[in-house]
Amino acid sequence: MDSTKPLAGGVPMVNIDGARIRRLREEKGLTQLYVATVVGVTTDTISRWENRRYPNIKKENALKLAEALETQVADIVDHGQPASPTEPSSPQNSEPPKQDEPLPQPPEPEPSPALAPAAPQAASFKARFASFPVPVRLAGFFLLALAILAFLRWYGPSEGESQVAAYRIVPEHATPGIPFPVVIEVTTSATRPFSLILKETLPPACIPAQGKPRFVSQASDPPVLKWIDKISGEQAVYSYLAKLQPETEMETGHQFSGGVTVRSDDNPSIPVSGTDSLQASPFHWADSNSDGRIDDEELLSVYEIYGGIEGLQFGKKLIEEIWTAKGYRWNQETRGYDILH
Amino acid sequence: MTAKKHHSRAPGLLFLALFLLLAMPMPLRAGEALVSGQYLSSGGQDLQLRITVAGPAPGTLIVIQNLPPGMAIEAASPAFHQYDANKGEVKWLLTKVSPGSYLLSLRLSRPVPAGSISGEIRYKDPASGRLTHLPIRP
Repeated sequence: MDSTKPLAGGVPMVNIDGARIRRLREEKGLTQLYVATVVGVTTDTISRWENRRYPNIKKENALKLAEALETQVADIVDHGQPASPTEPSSPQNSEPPKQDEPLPQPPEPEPSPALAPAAPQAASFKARFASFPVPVRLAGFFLLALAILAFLRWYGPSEGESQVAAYRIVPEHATPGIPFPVVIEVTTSATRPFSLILKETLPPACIPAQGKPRFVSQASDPPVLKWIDKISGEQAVYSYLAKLQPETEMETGHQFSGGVTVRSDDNPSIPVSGTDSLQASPFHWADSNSDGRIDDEELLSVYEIYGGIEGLQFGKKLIEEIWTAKGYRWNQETRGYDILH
Repeated sequence: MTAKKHHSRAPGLLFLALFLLLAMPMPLRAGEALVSGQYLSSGGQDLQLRITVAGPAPGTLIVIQNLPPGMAIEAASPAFHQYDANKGEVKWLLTKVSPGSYLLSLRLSRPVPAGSISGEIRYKDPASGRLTHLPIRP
């Protein structure tokens, strides 16, 4: 039986098996947030799909859902059950067209009722503690502080927990029309492989180009790049080339932002730290002190940061040409650098 | 009296012991010389120098060889990236460097007296990120 059927508007729809989706997700240890981020919907939508409140979803979303669950579309399709009268595919029950609503925050935990009877005991302990001499109380405080420190030191971030951090390196400036590299380093203390989604939003005046590894371009105004990856080591490096549109005005600032979502983590997103702005400038991005030449230290910095990224075409020929020359000058007419020998 | 004194010292001693335990530095691996350079031939018409790189290696090195100003170079291996004949400064750029030894050689148009030349290796220290200038040993 074919479970794919077009809506009145011609959009192909798929009848999904909510229980199976939930089972697959739980078996793979994925959170609703992770799946929602991969598909590009909210956690509420995922919950509705799992609970069969939206039994029919767009085929495009079904493909993304299968990708998030690391399975085939056939595995999440409800083959034996067409849209039943109890679950009509009316506009109310069908997947809502608006998918870009903000992701909901996890609910605050309810206060535990077990805390209530502890109050009299606490009061009694307080009274007893107050009866001790001051030096003993001070020593008690010290010991407590030390015990907390020792606990944090030895039992704090355990091996299995995923401590993820992301750091962006962007040149301070770049010339409009000349490609510059951006590197995002994701580091983790986790010992087991885990999946992540890295989302990078570029300034509206930026045009993304080559990505290493390849990114999925999600939007164009402003450009949004997305990587879905599995990390198995301590560090992963994501890089791309971008350029400011040639007509970008000099001396204007441009902002980058990004975040990492980890599948085993319920936090919405870990923001990418590091450099987040770039200025349009007539100086080459590798000329970090903007003195019209690329010296040894600047050249070594470029190679240390970007040289190890296999296949990233960051323009080393031009950089070496400037390094070996006396200097360079931006030529507004030719929209290129004049090399000074 | 004595017993009282002992009693009051106990938390202090315990605190000291715990403090020492917590403050004890983690064992660090002492950094050894990452890069070294030595002349195998520092005079005559043919100059040869050996660069030795230990791990963790800096990814890129700049090797600078100073020659008498105006000196002409007949051959170089590997090819240098920059030569300022007025200053007599030759520059090699070695990229994707891995631990091991690298031989650089120059054939000059005329011989130079032994020990009259100097050279330097420049690299970014992988640990500190600082620019390091290392003279090539005679």
